[in-house]
Amino acid sequence: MWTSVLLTTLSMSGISVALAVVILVAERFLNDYGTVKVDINGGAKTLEAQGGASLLSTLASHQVFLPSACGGKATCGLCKVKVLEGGGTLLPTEEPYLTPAERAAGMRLACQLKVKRDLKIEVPEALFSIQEFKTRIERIDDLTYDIKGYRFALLDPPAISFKAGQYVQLYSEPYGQVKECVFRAYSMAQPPSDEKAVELYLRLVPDGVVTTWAHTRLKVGDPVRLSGPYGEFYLRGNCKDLVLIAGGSGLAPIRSLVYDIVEKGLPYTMTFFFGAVSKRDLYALDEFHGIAAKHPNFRFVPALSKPAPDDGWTGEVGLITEVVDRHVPDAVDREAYLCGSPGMLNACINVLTKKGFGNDRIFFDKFA
Amino acid sequence: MKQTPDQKRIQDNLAPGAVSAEGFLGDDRRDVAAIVAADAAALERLGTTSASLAARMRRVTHRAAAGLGATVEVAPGREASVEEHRGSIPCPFRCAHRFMKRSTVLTDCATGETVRYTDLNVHLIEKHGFFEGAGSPFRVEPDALAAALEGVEA
Repeated sequence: MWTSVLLTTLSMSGISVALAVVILVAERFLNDYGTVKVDINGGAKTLEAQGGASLLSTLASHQVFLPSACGGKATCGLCKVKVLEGGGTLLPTEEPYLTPAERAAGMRLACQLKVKRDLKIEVPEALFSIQEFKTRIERIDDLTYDIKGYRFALLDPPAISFKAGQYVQLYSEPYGQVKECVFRAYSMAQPPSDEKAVELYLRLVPDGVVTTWAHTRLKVGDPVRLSGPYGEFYLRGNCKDLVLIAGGSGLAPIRSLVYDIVEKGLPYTMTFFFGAVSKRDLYALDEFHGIAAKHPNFRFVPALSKPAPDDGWTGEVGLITEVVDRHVPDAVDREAYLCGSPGMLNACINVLTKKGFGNDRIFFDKFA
Repeated sequence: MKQTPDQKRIQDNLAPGAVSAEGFLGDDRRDVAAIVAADAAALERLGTTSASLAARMRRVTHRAAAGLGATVEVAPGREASVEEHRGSIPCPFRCAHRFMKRSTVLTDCATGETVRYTDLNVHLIEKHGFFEGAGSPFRVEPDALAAALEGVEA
């Protein structure tokens, strides 16, 4: 009987090993897509890569960077690219992010599309100017209890050319139990004239992969990777008066815009509404009051919705929507630039719309 | 018991570093099914359901969101505030949904007891009966949640 048990065990083990070998061999050969060619914009750029990776990472490894805020997890829908040939069928993970018109036009999410055969794609020419930067942290500032400011000195390449309001992608390194590099998008806070560094304001997201890494691990002198610039949030300048609204770390792109305008002496008047709950959520007050003191075309309106009893607050009180409603009379010759949480932005957009601001006069960078 | 490939992916998503920094299981050694079963038993003992809790959680968040971060009254004796963060987070159970990184803090004004939950928590409780593992940063205790939601209409 024991011989029979032993023989059965051995034969079952043998079959299992044989099946494992078959699977390994099959994976080795069936999943080997070999070298594939990606043609971008009708031959404007051609690259060859090992097949099997996502289009997003394949392009990035050849220094073609598509916008992405979620790190390639199909949650932001920013990495849309037009695929002319070789894309295969649309995946269920892509469907929520593509309109029927986009699907008909061959748009795909580059983070979900695996490069398995030769591809022909189209991307906006501007993306060719996006670069990856090696940087070193020059300074870290505690701006509030949960927002830190980081200044990254650019090493290679040594300078960045961008429009005020645009963003970069910050790449975290594996840490703790996080086994892979992850990237997220953050707006630049410095003006374009400050081209040898990038400044970012990072609010700690509870249990967030990248902000936890930045807040708990990064220190001055650390090397960090960035790529950019990205984004459509920048000055249009079709009106004389600019209404600027920010909350929390949304101050960053507004700061860049304000400095850019005052440095260039552009002929706009600006009113900057900076909303928070209590004084502990505000920062850079002295800096913006200082700009207002020097530049009569800039007005700074910080506002608290619920100042703490010991805040000693003498400024505007109320929801940022109420404050904007009080100070902005109408949409005549005005355009608005907003950056903050989706709730704040939606509420402010409602107020501005009621005052006559059309979609072509409201520009925003939503934290979504 | 051997996991199916889909179960394996879910288990991987629940681990630290996949969807969130700390993951969803904390230091709980039980498998997901055991965690869900224990919390389902707690709900039965409390005489409520995950659907009822989720509906009231959603109502609280909706009312509190109007405060744009400040605390507002959401029901008699209950205050809440909503905090929004940049980005969105997918369901670790691989549902085709993503959720705002938004957390609601609900306070019982009489006792000062607070319960914090995210939009993802509401979905996990409603669709998966999952309150997260013990020690997880966003674990919601059924007893505390049910007590905090007393008097809140769905």
